[in-house]
Parts: sequence; C-alpha cells; structure tokens
Amino acid sequence: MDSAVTELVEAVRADVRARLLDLLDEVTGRKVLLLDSTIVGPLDLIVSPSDLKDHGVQQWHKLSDQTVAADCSQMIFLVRCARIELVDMMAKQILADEKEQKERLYVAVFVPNKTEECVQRLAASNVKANVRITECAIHHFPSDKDVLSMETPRLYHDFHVLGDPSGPFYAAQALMSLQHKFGTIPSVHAIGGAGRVVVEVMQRLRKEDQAGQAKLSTAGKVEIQPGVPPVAAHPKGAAAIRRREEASSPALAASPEVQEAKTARINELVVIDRRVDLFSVLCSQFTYQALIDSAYGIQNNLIDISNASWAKDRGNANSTVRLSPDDPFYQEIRDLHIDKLGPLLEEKARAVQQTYSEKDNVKHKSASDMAEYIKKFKTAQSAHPLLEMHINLAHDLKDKIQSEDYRQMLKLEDEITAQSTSSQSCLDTVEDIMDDQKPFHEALRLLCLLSLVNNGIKAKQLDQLKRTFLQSYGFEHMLTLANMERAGLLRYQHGKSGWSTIKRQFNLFVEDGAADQDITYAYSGYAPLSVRLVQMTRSQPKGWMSLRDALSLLHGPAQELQQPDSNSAKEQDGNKSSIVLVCFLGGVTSGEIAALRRLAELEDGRRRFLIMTTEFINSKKIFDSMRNEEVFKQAPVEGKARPQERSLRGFGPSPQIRNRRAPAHSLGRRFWPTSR
Amino acid sequence: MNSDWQKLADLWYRKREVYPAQWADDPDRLHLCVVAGAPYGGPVATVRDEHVFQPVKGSLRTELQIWTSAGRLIQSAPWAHTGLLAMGWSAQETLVCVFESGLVRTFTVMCEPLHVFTVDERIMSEGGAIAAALWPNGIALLTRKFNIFVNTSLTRSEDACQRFADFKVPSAPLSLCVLPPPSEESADVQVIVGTSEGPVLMVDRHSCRDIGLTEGPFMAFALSSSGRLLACLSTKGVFKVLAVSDNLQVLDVANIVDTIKKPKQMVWCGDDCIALYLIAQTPSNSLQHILFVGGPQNDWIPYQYDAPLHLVSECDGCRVLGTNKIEFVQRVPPSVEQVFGIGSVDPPAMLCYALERYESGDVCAQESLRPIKLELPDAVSTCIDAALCEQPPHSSNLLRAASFGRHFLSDTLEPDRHREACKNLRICVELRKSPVEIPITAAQLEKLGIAGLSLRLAQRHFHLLATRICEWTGHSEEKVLYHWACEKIRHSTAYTDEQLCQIILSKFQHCPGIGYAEVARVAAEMVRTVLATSLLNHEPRSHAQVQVLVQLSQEGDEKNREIMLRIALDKAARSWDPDLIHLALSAASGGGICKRGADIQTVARLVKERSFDLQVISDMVTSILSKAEQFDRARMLCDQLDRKRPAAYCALQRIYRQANYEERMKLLRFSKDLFAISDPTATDAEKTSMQFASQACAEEIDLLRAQVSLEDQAAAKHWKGNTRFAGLSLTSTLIRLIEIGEVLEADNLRTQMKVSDKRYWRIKIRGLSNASNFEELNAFATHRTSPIGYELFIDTFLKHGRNDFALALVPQIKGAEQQAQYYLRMGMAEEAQRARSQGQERSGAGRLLNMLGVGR
Repeated sequence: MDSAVTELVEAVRADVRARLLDLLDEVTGRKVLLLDSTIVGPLDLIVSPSDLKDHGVQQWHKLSDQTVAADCSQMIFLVRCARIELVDMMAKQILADEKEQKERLYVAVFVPNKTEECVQRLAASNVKANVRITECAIHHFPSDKDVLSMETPRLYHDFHVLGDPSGPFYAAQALMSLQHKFGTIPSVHAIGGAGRVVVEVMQRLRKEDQAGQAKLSTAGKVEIQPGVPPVAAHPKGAAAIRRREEASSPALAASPEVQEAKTARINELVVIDRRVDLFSVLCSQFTYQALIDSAYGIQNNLIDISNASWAKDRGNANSTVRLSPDDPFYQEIRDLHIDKLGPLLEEKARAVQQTYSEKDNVKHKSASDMAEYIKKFKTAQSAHPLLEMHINLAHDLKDKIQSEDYRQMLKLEDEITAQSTSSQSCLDTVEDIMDDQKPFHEALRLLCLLSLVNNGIKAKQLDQLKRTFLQSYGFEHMLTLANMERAGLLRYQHGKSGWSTIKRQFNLFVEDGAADQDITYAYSGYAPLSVRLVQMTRSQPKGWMSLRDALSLLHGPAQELQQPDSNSAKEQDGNKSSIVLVCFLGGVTSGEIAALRRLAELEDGRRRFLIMTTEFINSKKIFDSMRNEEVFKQAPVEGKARPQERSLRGFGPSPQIRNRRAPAHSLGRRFWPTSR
Repeated sequence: MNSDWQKLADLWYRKREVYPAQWADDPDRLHLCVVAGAPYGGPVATVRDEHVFQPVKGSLRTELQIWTSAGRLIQSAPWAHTGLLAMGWSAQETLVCVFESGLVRTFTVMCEPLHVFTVDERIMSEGGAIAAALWPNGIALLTRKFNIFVNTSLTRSEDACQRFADFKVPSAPLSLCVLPPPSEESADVQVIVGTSEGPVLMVDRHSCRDIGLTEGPFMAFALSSSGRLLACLSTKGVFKVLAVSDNLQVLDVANIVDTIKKPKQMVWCGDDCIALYLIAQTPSNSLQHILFVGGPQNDWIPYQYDAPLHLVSECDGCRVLGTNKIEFVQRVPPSVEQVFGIGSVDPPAMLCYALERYESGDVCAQESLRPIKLELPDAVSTCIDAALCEQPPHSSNLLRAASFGRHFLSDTLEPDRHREACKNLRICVELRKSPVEIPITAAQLEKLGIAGLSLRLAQRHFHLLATRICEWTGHSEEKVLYHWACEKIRHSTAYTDEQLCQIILSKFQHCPGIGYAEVARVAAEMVRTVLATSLLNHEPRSHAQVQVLVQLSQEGDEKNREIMLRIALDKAARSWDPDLIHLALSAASGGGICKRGADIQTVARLVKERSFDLQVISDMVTSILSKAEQFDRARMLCDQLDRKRPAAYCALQRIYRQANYEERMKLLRFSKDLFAISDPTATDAEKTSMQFASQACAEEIDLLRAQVSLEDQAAAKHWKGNTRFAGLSLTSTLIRLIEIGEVLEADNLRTQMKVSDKRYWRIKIRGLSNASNFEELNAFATHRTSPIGYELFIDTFLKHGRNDFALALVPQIKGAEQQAQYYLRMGMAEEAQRARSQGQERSGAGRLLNMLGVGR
C-alpha cells in the first residue's frame, strides 16, 4: 500500500483518536458511554477497548430503547447530530435514572457538531437542565489503509428521495476538516446533484473560514504581545515577528492559518454522487471482498458466518470473522478476482503442507537448522487456521457463483448491459424471479439495471412489472417503488437511451483479453463508470472539459473548479506522485475500491487515491435503503375474523350494552349450577 | 532617590503615591460602601453598604457609583437592589454583583445593566446564600444549608452551574476561596472552605477532602494573582502560604500573634508578599486603619492611616486606594535595585552614571564605561527593564542610558525589545493621564495584552484612543470597532437607519472577519430592522446570519415578521445547512414544526412564493413531518404546495399504521382517490405512476377483502394450518392456501385477481413443493401442457429426491443439451450421451458466463 496515502489516513486516525480520548478525559472519573449505533460499530477502528478502560470508561453500550443500569455517576452520550431521534432515547435513559433516583452527570456529545435542533429536542424532553451539551468533530473513521468512511448510511436515499441535504452538507464539512489538516485542495471535480451541494457548501465554508481567519491571525498576534509601531520598517518587522511566532509558539504552528501556508498534501478532489453511477452498484463484482460482501454482508470489517454450512463444524469458534485490513495476507487476496484466488490459496496451502512434512527431514540436521525450522513451522502453524478459513470461504463463494440460479442472473445481466436481447424477454425473466419470491433486491437489481440502461421502461411493461412486484412482495412496497422512482433507479421510458454512447465514450466494456489487466477486472469486463470518471480527469487532455457531451448524458451537473490558494506553492515536482481524494456520496462498492487501486498501478503511481465515502454499499444495501423501514415494523392488519369482535363492531348490540351485560352473564354462568 | 524604600526580610519594598485622590470630599465613603476595585489600574465601584450604619448626608437615594483609579466619578446610576452579597470585576471588566437570593447582575463600567441571571433556583429554597467568592470568570456561592454552587460563567447559568459535593459541617464556614479552572473553557473548579471547626476542606463537584492544614480554623484566604500561591490566616494569628500547583503543600508559616480579629482585607502584593488591612479601635474610641505589608520570615511593615482604605491586588504589586491618595506598593524590581540601590556600583548603575557625566559635558564620561565594557550588553538590558518599572522622568533617563550604552556595542542588541519598551511605556504614560486615569504598569500591560486594554478603553468610551493604540501597535481593531458600532446604534437616535448603516460600513470595510451579525443583533434589539437586515447582508457566516434573522422575525408586527422569515428561509436554503433550515422552519412555524399548534400555513405560503428555490425547504418539512408520523399534516402541506403526488404518498403512509381492517379499507379508498386526481402540471411519467398507484390501491382493496373473507371461511370450516391471510401479498396468500391444501380456493382467488397462467403455475409448483405434496404436483404436471416448460418441475422433484417423477418429464424438455444435463444429474450418463448426440452445440454465452467458463 502506498505510504503517502497511508500517512494521511494515519494522521486522521490519530486525530480522531485524540479527539475522542480528550473528550473522555474532560469528564474526570468513571463513566458509562452510550453510543450511536452508527458509531459503536466502527469505534474499534480508532480505539481499543483497553483504551476506553484506561480513560475511565466502565462500560459502553449502543444507545437504544432499552435503558442501561450502571452505578457510575457519569454518563456520556455520543450521538450524531443528524440522527435526531436518538435524543429521545437519551431522554428516556435520563428519565429512567431519575425514576430510580440516581443522580448522574450527563454529557451529551454531538458528532460532528451540536445543532440547534438537538438542543431544542433535548429541551423539549425536559431533561436539558441535567445535561451538559458539547460537540466532537469526528468526521471520518479510517476503515482501511486508503479508505476513510464517514459511516453515515442512507445518503443516497435521504438526498435523492427525501431531498434532505444533510448528507452532502456533512460530507462537505468532513472535506473541510481534511483540508484544514492537509491544506486546501487546489483542483476540484464534482458531478451529480449531491456533488453540486458539496461544492457549494465547501465554498461557503471556505469563505467563512477566511473571514474567521482574519480574526484568528490577529488573535494569534495578541498572544505574542508586542506588535510593531508603524515608524519602523513595517514589512521587515512583520517578518521578524512571524519568524518568532513560528519558532516560539508550537501551538500557533498547529493553527489552520499556518497549516495552510504549507503545500497542499492532497492535490485533487473528485466528488461523485452515487446517482451518477448506479451501474457500478447494480452490476456484479467478482473480487474476493465484493463476493464476501454480497454473500455475507461485511459490517465494519466483520462478517457473520454463523449461517454458513462450512462454519458449522468449526465447533465453538467465533461466529464472526474479522477481515482485518491490517492482515497482510488478506490485503494480498481481497482485491483478487475470484478466479485468481483459487490457485493462490492452493499454493499457500501447499506451502503450509510442505512445511509440515519437512518435519521428518529436519530431525537429522543441526540445531541452528532446527531452530530455523521451528520458526518457519510456527509461522505456518499460525497462518493455518486463517488460510483454512479463507479456503472454506472461497470455496463457498465459488459454489455460490456457479449455481444455476446465479448463472441465470448473470446471463440476464449480461443481456441487459449488452442490450443484446429485447427488453421484453429480460422483463419476463425478472418477472419469473419475482414470482418465485426470490430476495426482493435481486429482482429489483436487474429491473433497475434494465431501466437505467434503456433510459426507462415502457409504461405498459413497467406497470405490469410493478404490479407483479407488489403482488409478490406485498403492498408495503408501494413506498419502495415510489422511492425508487424518485431516486432515479426506476423510471418510465422517456426519450432515447444514451447507454450505448455512454458505453462508448467512457469505454465501459473492455474486450476479454484486456479485461484482466484494466480496471475492468473487478467486474469481469465492466469498467466502473465512477472510476473511469476519476481516470479521465487526468487521461483526457483537458480533463472533464474534453468530454462535456458525454458528461451531459449522466445525471446531474458536472463541475470543475480551482481553489486558488495564494500561500501554497504553485507547481509541484513533476516526478512526485500526487494524491487524489475520491469522495463517494452515497457509498462505494468493493469493486470500485479494487478498481481504483488497480488504476493507481496502471498510472504507474503518478497518482495515488485516497477514498472517502459516506458508507460501503452493495446492491442489497441500496435497495434496503429504498424500503421504508417503519412500514415494515407495523403490526399486520387485524382481519375482522374474531367473531365476537365482529358482532361488537357490526350487528351485535352496542358496546355499552354489551359491556353492561357481560359481567352479569359471566356471573350467571358461574352461579347457575349451585342455584339449581 | 531611594528614601521611600523599606527592607522587608532581605528584599526592598517601596510605596509610591500615584494620584492624589479626587474623592476626598467624603472621607467615610470607603468605609460606608461596598467597594470593588478592578485590577490593571481599572475602575472602582462603590455602592452603599446595607450592613453599616449610614449617617444622613446629602441625597438619600442610593447610587451605584463607578470611579476612575484617581477617584474621579465616571458614571453613577440609581441602585434599587437589596441583599448585595459580594461585588467584583470580571475578566472583561464588567461589574458583577451577587445577591443573597442567588441572583447575579452585571453592569458595564458606564453603569448600564448587562446581564441578570439566577445561579440556581435551589439556592433560594436553601435559604439564600450567605457567602460568595468571585473569580474573574465565575462565582461560588455558599447557601444557608452549607451547600456550594459554582457558576463558571458570568453571563448565564444553565449549563455553567454546578452543585458541589456535600461537605457536612455543623456551623457556618468562616471563609471561602476559589481555585479557578486552569483554562477558561474548563469547568474544573475547586473551592477551599475554611470551616469554623478547624479543618480546611477542598471541595469539588464529586468529592470533598480535608487538606490537612493544622492550627485552624482559618478565617481568610487569598490567592495570588498568578494563581500559584494561597495565603491562609487562622483565627489564632497563624499565617501560612501554600503552593497551589504542588498539592497545597505548606511553603511558609508565620505567627502574627497580635492579629486575632478578621482583617478587613487580605490580598497579595504581586507574588511577593501579603497586604493585610486591619481596622483597630484606639483607646480614644476612634478607628485606626493599619496596613501591614509582609509575610516572608514573619517580617511586617506597618503603615498607619487615619481614613479607610481599599486594596486592589495587581500582578506586580498592590494598589492602596486611600481616601486622600492612591498609592502603589510593590517589591522593588531587581533591575531598579541594581540601578538605584544605595551605593550600587553594578554595571547598570555605572552606565547611568556615565550618561550623567556625558550629559553634564564631562569629557571623561567614557572612563566610567571602561570597567564595565564586558557587562555592557547586560547593563543596557537591565536599564530597559528598569525603565519599564519607573515613571518619567526616571524612565526616560534610563532609556537614554540604554541607548547611550548601545553606542558602545559592536553588534545591535535586541532592537525589538528596546522599541517595544518605548512603545509600552508610552502607552502606560498616556493612560495614566487624565481623563483616562488608568495607572497601568508595563508589567500589567504585558499580562493584559493590547486586546484586553483596547476592550477596556472601548468600554469606557475611549474608542478613538483604543483604535489609535491598536493601529499603532499593529493589532486588530475589530473588537473596538464592534463595541463602537454597538454603542453607536444604542445611543445615536438622531440618525436614520440608512445613515447609520453607511457610517458603520465605512468603518467596517477595512476590517475583515468583523461580526456583522452581532452588530445586527444589537440593531434588532433597538428595533432598527432595516439597519439590521442591511448589515446582515454583509455577514459571511450564514449561521450568524440566519440566527439573527430568526431573532428579528420574533419582533415587530406581522409584516416585519414575514419579511424576516422570508429572508431567513432563503438564506437557510442557500446554505444547505440542515440545522439552519430547521432553525428557520421552527421560527416560521412558531416554534417546532412538529408541535401541535405549528403554523404550517405560513411555511406553505412562504415556500409557495418561490417554490423552485425553496424546494429543499418543502422537502425537509415533509420528511420531518413524516418522520414524526404526522402524515395528515404533511399531506396538507403538500396539498397547499400543489404537490399532488407527495401528498398522496403521505396519505398512503398512514395506511400501514392502521391495523384495523375497516379503517384500513377507508384509508385505502382515500388514497386511491388521491392518486386518481390528475395533476395538470405533472409530467407524463408522473401521471402514469399516479394512475398505477391508484390501481394498485384498488387491487389491494380487493385483495384485502378476499383475504378477510378467506379468514372467515377458514374459521367457519376449520381449515388446518396457518390461516392468517390479511396483510400478506397475493403470491404469499396463494402459496399459503396451496400449502394448507385449499387448492380450490387458491384457484378461485387466482381467477378473481386475474393472475396470469404462467405466474400461477410457478406459484402452484412452489406451494405444492413446500407442502411436499408431490403426487398432486405430478398430477399437475401431467394434467395439462405447462405454459412455463418442465424445468421447474424437474428441478423441484430432483431437489426432493423424487427422481421417479422427474425422469418421466425429461423428454418434455426442449433442447438436447438440457435434457442431457438432467440425465447427468440423475446419474444416467448413457441417456445423457444419447440425448446430446441428437442435440446441437450450445449457443455462445456472453461476457459473464464466459468468465465463469474460464474459471472452471
């Protein structure tokens, strides 16, 4: 992995870690930590449990409807400000404590900043008086050596369906925090509606920053008390003071103003709205990690294998497996195409086997050879369980993708993207999938892919499909369909399809021979559009300017802008590789990450990619996000089947009368026999 | 020259007159009043002391009076409050008055009221406060029930107020002292309590501990201005000095046997020694005022006065505000001692002597310099130090000596320091003069900083002087300008809004980063709406912008309200900041969009005016309301905005919340009608989608009715198995019917709901397979020609190991290769071979399948 990018990620990790621990230290003594569910998962990416213990955290829980009982006198809530509903849970906890007459100090920490809305909501719950409200600017969780994830799910749904700009807004804030740390990024590309919002907010925040900095720079001077009387040669004096400031006050050197004076460490930013490139989410991916994700669902680098058949006979081993990005072996294999994986694993297994078998030969050798062998043996032994797990996993995945069902879907996907068969026959197959009530996201994936490729589906056909969908999966999905239409996943045909032009312009499909080498390898022939867009900021002579027509076929506006920064050095050395921050609004797929890593190799290391994303996404997640969860939580309809109830509601005597009669009736029944 | 020096232990001290007091007209003022003097040569506040018997003199009306350091009245204001407990000055030089009820009032130096707040309601219920201790950023209060409340802010309570741990004592403590938090943001305050029983306690939020100080009880504490040393005085006359940072370790102990009475004041004189102010009764029954300065090694210098005093601790000494003169007591700085010490032949003294000789025309002046040639750089530097501690003309002589010595140095020595010394001295000298009368020393100025000084000057309405000092020293004049603008708006009623705006903008334009919004807020407070909005347009920070606009919208008449809300919504929408949008929305809806009485109409009206620009606002409202499950209101809002489709979907969402069958039917019909309304502005796609939704609702109505009647039948005919149907999807209903063996009912339902042949076959196969009813399945397969081919049948049979049924169906399969595959799966290689030989090649597969082929 590239060290320059890793350095940046490590700097972010260190920063987030410091912020979090400082926060804990601010509240002295023992405390309970209640965390937002979207923070509790990635928490161990930045701090270890022992860190928390060292800083006085007695226990930590996910903040939920269940209240937590603890005997600590202090409680810290760490909650995202965007998830306003969690405030109610906080209030519930506090009120429950009050009922038990526990006096505690409460600190509500909002991430990344506290908002009026949260404060008001707390006040409305009548608990604000007990709570100290602070904020903690945690924007990113470094989930890999080159990936920063914001862990803010559902951006695509919230922005494109609900029209809620919070997602892009917080992404812009996160980008600003990176720029504070690593210098203003000189060149910015953005595409899509959400991308536009991000750029607008970023520009505005920058302006506000500049206004704020005028303040800050003077505030800095005051600390170094004496200024310069105008009688003296002004510029020279100022320079002297500046030198002294930098030398004497390390605190000041860390301030953003001075930071910005350095050269920008990130040279380019590409912001991609997920809506621009839905293809890459909907198309099948074949890297090891992507397949694991689609089969098991990777959550915070963990997978749950308790349902996997091969894991059953592992005995009492953990039901979750950690796919650590720090594990060099996993690093080696995660981005491999599944076809390449098999031979590699086989080779590794053989190597381990061989080491084991060497045991007999070594017996007659010298002590030093023996020691060396023992060492070798031990590494082999420690690698063994991991290797075994991966072999099982890979085998399982291979079985899955060679199953008849899977092949059918691939065939259909192939036909759709190649537009080789009529859409009606594709739709028929999709309908069959729906009739069989296969997981709903599988059916929708293909349907939406078809809609995207053909720029919509003919009204009659689509109505038929939608009806089938509702009849198979239930009326609750009315909202799912409406959401998908709003989000552009599904649409009625309108105008000609630009797919073949897009395909050609962006060279999305690469012929078999070259596909293994190009960025297409992750999708077996399809080049993710998003990655092509990143590639083209450099590969085209005038960047995106040269493909204006092609860009206009994609959803949402594309823009390019330069952020002039007078302080930074204008030209960087030609031979030094530049760092490109690729920001995915609405999630990134494993395949895209793999493709970007491949792209860095293809460009001979001239550019390195740092990936920032709001979440990790796959086709299942995107359709899950389209569902309205609340609707599925509701109680089912009560049929009028209960006969008494029916009489109550309908023809029977009015409820009052019945109520009055009921006790008498039951009394009578009880006493009748005795009176007889 | 050094006749006013006095030796204490082995250090020299001096007391100098700064000003003759101008308040000498009333000799008892300092005795009859509660007095508070501000550090850094700041003003003095006096207000009549309720606890002292007052002789009637002149007006009976009580006044709060604020004086300069020289005893000249700055401003006075009527004082109608009672129960004053303590008075002091904050770090920003605002006057803080603490009352027994726990109420805090702050005033500007011009006697204008600033803030009023109650530290905690519980103080009143505990019988009020009996003691208070102030520090520049907060207050500690002791209630009658001996609880301590600490407020770490002097502008508000709320989150700044903390109740400290209980320390159970039987009687009232003698004194309190606050150890302020290490930084301004921190709330880590500790309070030292001198109990009347003896032990000294250190109390904080969670705990209380005895610091183990013997020879108590202690009746007075004083913290040095650097916060490093704590002086304690016991009732037995024992005096101790503790190191604050070093776990309150005792550094020095002294016994002053004759002091048993509580001193009127005990303050630090710099970090060097203690000043004790005692009032003693003479045998002739008059009061004698004695000031003791000393402490180290139990050495004390007594000064006697015949009129009352007030002591103000400074970082380099102590100001003695007397009735007749204002004096300054300090330790003689080492540099001054070197120059002016009696018989000093130190290099700096020699340098001064050389200058003296030179100036008097002595041609051999250089001879005095020759012996100190090597120490000359140090001598120059010491002369500058000494100059900073002196007044003109000494200071200018010393500076001259320094520059004289500089001539004899080969390389330039600290030119900046020399220049800064001159500059600071000049500021100090100017400020000392009337009318400013701030006797700040260079050391104090160094600590306060130009920013602090200019703020203090601005607050005393010396804006011009403050800006000039800022300009001259190269500091930002932003705070001064801001203060100026606020005062201008508050006090100049003669200007129109436009004129005032022009005046302010002309001053502001050279100062980036100035808080337009804060100034606008002041304008709003003064009901100058036009001024406020035009100032706001210059504000780059949208947060500040919207907040002020929202505030403005809560004032004035309806028309004003709407104008402000319109701007606020617009700015919020442009910022994309969800919090600002929320803020503007809750203002527009009259406090919380989800509240019962929320004013959705106004929001709708405002948004409708510019529905395109404010799209984000209407989206946000809809989603907020939907999240709060207020679908009816969301629907009404969409209706008012002519957004038919979202309105219908809002109505749709209500359906799912309704578990009652008949209610749900009603809602379904309602939604169906809403979807059926045609919207002339909608696109074709939207119209089609609406039509579909309407039909879907109609079908759901039919389905639900059918399901409920099935449930009735099930109950009547005692069907076995799971007979809950309501709420299932059509396919699931059919499957369940087939599973429980009611195939006939399934067939009926299928006809009723017009399920296509193809689909129904698939469903039936699955249902029968789930129920493991293979005979029926086989009958189904052979009964009629399948519209969906036979693969599904065979697959199902194979899955359940019914090869017998499967085998019979294989010949029905189209395509020889497929047939062969099935034969192979049943382990019949021969048949497979035969089938294959008849068949032809498989057609070319696509990209993805090829890949899999390669992968095999």
